[in-house]
Amino acid sequence: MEIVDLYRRLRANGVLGLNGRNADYQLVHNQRKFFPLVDDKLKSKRLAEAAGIAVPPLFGVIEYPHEVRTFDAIVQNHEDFVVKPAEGSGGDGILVVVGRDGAGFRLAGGTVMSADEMRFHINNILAGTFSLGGQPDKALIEYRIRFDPVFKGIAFQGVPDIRIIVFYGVPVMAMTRLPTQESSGKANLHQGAIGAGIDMTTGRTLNAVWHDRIITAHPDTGAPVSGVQIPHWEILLHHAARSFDLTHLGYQGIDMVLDSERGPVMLELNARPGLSIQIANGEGLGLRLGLIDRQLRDAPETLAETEERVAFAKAHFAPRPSAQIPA
Amino acid sequence: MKNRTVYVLAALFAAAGLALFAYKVLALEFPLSPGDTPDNWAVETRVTFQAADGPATVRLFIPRNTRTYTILDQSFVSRGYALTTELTPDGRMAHLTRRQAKGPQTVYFRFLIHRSEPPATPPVADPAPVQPPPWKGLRLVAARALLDQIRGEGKTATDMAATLIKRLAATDPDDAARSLLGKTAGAERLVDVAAGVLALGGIQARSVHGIALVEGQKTVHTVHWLEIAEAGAWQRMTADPTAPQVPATWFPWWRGTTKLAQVDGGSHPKLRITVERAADQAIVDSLSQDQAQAKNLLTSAMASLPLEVQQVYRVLLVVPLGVLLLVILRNVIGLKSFGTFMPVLIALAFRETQLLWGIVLFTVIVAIGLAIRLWMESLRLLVVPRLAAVLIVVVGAMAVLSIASAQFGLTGGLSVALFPMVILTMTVERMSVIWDERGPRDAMQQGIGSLFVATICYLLMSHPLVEHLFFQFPELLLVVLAAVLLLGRYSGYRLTELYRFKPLAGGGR
Repeated sequence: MEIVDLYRRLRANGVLGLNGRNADYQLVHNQRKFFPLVDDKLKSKRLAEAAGIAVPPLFGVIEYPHEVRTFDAIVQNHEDFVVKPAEGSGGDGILVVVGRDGAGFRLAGGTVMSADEMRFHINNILAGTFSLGGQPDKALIEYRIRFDPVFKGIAFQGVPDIRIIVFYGVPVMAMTRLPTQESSGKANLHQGAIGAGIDMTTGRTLNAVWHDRIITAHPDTGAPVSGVQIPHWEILLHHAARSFDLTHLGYQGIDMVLDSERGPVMLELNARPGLSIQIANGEGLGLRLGLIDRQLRDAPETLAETEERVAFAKAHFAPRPSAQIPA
Repeated sequence: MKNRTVYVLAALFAAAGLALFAYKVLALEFPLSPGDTPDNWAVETRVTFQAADGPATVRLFIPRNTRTYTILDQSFVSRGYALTTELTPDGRMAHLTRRQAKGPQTVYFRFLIHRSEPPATPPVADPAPVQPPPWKGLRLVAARALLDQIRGEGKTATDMAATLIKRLAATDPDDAARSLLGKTAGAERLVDVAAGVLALGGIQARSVHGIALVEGQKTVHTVHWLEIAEAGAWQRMTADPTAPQVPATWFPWWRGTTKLAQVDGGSHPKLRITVERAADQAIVDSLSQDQAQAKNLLTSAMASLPLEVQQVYRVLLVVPLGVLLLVILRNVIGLKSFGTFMPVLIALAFRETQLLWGIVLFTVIVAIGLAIRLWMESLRLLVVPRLAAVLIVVVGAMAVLSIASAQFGLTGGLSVALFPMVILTMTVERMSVIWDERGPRDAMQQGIGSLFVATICYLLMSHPLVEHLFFQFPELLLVVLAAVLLLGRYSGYRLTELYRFKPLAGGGR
């Protein structure tokens, strides 16, 4: 049967499904007590700062409704900034303010939001509209990333980010997520952003996936999205390798962005990173994870240091020839 | 690894559940299929009258068990009335009294009957002293004349009764019969008179009144027949000489010349009886309880519960199967739906509304709620008041739908009240957040997905066989638990993922 055959071939290629990710990795290698460290962006931000990983500077935190009036004071000296829920998921509830328009705020998508609407949005964040399970949340107001010019042609507005899956400190697989007009500047694949796989050895982009389809050029700009060199690739790999020491979550994803002034900056960590990264890389996660698993069992001391982890990833996780699907 | 514990647990649960199931089926011969619908009837009697601003009493006959009929459950609904019962020679009688009653009064008396196969032999008649009727003067003379006529012709008591009924029921009765029956003589009067005449002749006879248990009657008329003791057994005879056989569907309610219901302290008394077939398996289950010998608490735990509680468990016990189906649809097939258990709760509501109405009502209410909720976005309400407002809108929409469907005579629409309003509210809220954040396409997709999952769950959970199996064999829950545990460690692909990851299927074998 075709379906059985498809199933077998996916399994042979080590493709990870949602059930496999949850049952074999997230539930086995991630202890629940560490989840708050990644679910609360404020906590992961502080952990990263303490470990010397750059994060977007925090302008202010609003935790209770009566503090909403402090918002004007927080953003008083900032022309542009980002408002995000501390425990949001999937990029919901994030507002990127690129400038002012009288008393209102100009958003990344081009629309203008009144001060009134902004206060309403923050109240919604506090009430838990965007948080996991709907519990009360905090609103973070932080520095807006000015992205590296390398992405100029391949990102439509918004900030492209780089996600790396990390297994016990070893970077496993990476992709960059490029906003499109459809994703209204957001870097989330299910909202219509592009994901492009990254060669772990060189830091160059591979093929890209858009709506689970493989593409080679940006749908809005037409610029090629394959073969682009990601700057600071070494630093990005090092940040990823150290992220395990921050959270002690065996299986996690780290989201970073390249700021034109600050270089690689960590945005957030994720205990349940999505699986489209496999399509973007044209390769399943399972075989790479199995390799690390064996190495950890046989010689755990060889993966104890950041340098060793990065070296292991660069040595073993070059893209397979089949990942380079001809355009 | 941890998987082994799960496998062992699942195997234990499944083995225990299946072993008990097999024992009950093979050794105790529990039926595997629900069988025919039971012969149960719900009877409702309504007495209305105009109270005369003073004490009021309603007297009503209460039926009792016979060899064919079992009274399962009876209740009076009468606000402010005190109930006492009295045993009369004609049957047990209920007295509903109220010290002060004014204006229109209504008293309901409901009971449930189970009918079993009538026994082959007629019921035994214990010899009892014959009470002659309290007739005097002309009526007594007329009765005696009638008695003389039938005595001359008949031999046995039944023969005499048959002849008597033929004379009384004749289209042109003689003077004697006419003076006893009066001007307007129905079957009730006829059997009462016949019983009196026979009693006057020293024959043990009685008039019996009841109702016919037939489906599809709007208002039920009472039926009447005569019972004559002959050779120690009661012989029965209708008031119609052309069809003297009493049908098996006639249910005996009360005897003698007294009316079924009487009202003191009121005027314009009205009596209405309705009969409905009750497709209620639980009742038969509870009946068979004392018949079963080998059943103990372990095997017939459900049947030992009161009827209403059984009704609840009849529904509750199929919920786990619906949840198992939900797990399969989500984790093996990969369908998306709102909320974890929301589709199962909607499916439960479908049980009451029926599928088509359920889907229509759900769609209409969610659409109304969503439209108002999306407009509400511009009001910038805080979350909790906003949720409360959506809830109120949902309840209002439910009420409007009920009223509208009542106006148009669509009874299906009335059942909208059975939808879980909080679930509807949360569905509207989550759908609107998805609508705003991810667009209408995602919202519609998940909404239709939820409705689809709910429909499949409903079709499974409402299947009579499923309901029967889980109610009769609650140990099957262990099997469902085992299946859920195993699915909890299922790490394979979801069906939808096979297509999502199809591009990765190439290359190495």
